[in-house]
Amino acid sequence: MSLTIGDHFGLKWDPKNLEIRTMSVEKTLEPLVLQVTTLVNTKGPSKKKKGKSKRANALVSTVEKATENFIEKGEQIAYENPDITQEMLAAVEEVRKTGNAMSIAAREFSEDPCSSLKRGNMVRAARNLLSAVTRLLILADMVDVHLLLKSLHVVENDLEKLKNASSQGELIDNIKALRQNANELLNQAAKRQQELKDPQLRDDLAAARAVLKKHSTMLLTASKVYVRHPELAAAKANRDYVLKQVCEAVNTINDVAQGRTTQPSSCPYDGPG
Amino acid sequence: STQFDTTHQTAVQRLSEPSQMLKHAVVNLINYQDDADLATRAIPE
Repeated sequence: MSLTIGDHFGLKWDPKNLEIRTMSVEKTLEPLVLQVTTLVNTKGPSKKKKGKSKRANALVSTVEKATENFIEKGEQIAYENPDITQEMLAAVEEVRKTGNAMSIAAREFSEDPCSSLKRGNMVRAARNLLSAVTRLLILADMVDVHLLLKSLHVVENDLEKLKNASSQGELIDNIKALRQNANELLNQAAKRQQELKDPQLRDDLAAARAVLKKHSTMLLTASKVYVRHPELAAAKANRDYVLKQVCEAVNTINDVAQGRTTQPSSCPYDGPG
Repeated sequence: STQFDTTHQTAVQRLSEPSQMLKHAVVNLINYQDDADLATRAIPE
């Protein structure tokens, strides 16, 4: 049996216990959750200006089109990410199903807008639809993490090859590959940093990115000296130190991507960032 | 520098706008009740 992405990250879908870690998801979900709660709990008349809504049929069509558009984007992302296609498609299917139920309830309501029963049915259908939308958004966030981790594993492999390089030619080739892949990783990590809510995680990621970027040239120089003079203990120590720093930075990116805060050291201000 | 490529959106960013549109559409539809309420109240007068 293959592992699902949820298993991979140790995540289980529980709508009652969601920890939202990124800005985009929060920005999108917070109003959704708030709206759904408000809609369900509304007792008295709203304070909105009256008499400005369009015909109910037009509003129903807008919901249907918006659902279709959301489904289309979800499917695109699903097919672009073969590792997660099945989970994404299942979530998209849930949006489609709840969207259809919403469409039926909305049409019934539009024909009899004074019926509180029909309105109640529609609100329940809306809640289910928005819950399915939420689930797809969280999966999309997992897709982003998954891509970041994939990129990270490539860099880890490059570092391992670099460590074992025994000639200048091999070293240069490995450094070239590492730079290219590290750039990709830095890009993705930067996007993640921008998205993260937790300031501690953001700082950890910023520090790790800085180390990865700044140590690249140092790693090349130290590795060149070591490959040329493997007999010199100082050359090895120097190369090992830089490599260790880079590996630690990569590990930090890994931890942050998975929502793990790095352990506080005895001196919290030690090191970059 | 620590600048980065902003042209490629993440999966969440790509879904953000469509989900906002959907939410607004749902909210507008449910607010339609307000007008229906108004009509109900206006009739006896």
